[in-house]
Amino acid sequence: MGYRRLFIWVEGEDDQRFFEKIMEPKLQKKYNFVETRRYADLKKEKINNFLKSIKAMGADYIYVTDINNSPCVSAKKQETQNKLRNIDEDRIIVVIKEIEGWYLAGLGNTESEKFKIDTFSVTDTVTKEQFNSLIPKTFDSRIDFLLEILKKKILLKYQSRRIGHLGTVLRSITARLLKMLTTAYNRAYLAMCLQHSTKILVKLGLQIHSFRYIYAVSINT
Amino acid sequence: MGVIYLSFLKIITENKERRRKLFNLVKDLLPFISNLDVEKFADKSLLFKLQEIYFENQYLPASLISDGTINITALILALYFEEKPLTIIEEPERNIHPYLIAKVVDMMKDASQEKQIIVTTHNPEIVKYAGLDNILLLSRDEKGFSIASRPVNKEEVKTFLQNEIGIEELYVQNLLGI
Repeated sequence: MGYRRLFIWVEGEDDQRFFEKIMEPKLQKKYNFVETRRYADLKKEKINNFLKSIKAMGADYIYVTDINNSPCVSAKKQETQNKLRNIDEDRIIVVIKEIEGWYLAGLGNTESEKFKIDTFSVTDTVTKEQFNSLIPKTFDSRIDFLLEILKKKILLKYQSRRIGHLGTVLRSITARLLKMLTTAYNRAYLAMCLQHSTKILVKLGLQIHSFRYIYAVSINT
Repeated sequence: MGVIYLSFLKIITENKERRRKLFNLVKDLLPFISNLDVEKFADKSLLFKLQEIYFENQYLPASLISDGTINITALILALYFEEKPLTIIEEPERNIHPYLIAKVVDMMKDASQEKQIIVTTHNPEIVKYAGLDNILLLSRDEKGFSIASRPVNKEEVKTFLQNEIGIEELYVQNLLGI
């Protein structure tokens, strides 16, 4: 197989930190070159030219955007396609609701207690403002707090791998229990989110059960 | 790195919580750094040294460290560990790769939640990431006197921005003070 490149386009610094620390190591197993880049301060035409160049060189890309106030994932994707003529629909990943929710997703009671913050069983409604309001007073830097969360998440992933099969079984049981507790409406929403996320991730060679953060965000009890 | 900052760095690296915070922030900008230290000699002189992830158990002395790395370390000390309510930084972009400027400005905005930060610059990347609301333009009037103005208050500037001409392009074209 030839040299495989992947470009991950994210909106801003917080998104970039998350993807560089959490997602890139996973994706480096499938690609020779993985780079996360910001698009918030690039003009539309420049982003279009980057996407055109990436496709011309035979590389892969994903474009990550927050759902913000769009009514649904499809609407957000359409809005993105209207803005960027060179983007492919199946390369757009929509974050529900903002990247701060992904930072909090998967933090259990122990980690939340260490940070002295509330535990969230569901993080897909967490906004930037809500996240900022729960930063402990012991942290006078938001960036420092984000980096500490990422360190905990990397440690959790390492511990999870060590648990191995038991961890997989536990996650599977938890996922099934959560699924049983959701209403029919939420199940449909969950299915849509998972389907949307897995389509892209499977294309990138990732298995959904190992992608616990998007999975945790998508579960809506 | 100045003697004052070396002493400062020594104090910080000896405090566990401050050391943790410093390392988080330094590694965010310079991920290849694995350790920072300040060595004190018998004659009370101090030596700044750092370790990179590429070489285990090998420290690089200050004389072999790039100016950019030293500048970034000093910048982080000034932003996050100086307790004075006002910090003024002259041309922080010196010796720093343009790609890192966005992260440097992000840290300045982060630190500015706790204190007033004033930055002087001639760098379009700093202008771009600072954001229109945070820019004060210093220029000279027809009589040679310095005047400070806010481009955010100018309709002409807003018109340019609406037509996707970026702040940094306006600055390079000397149109921010139009």
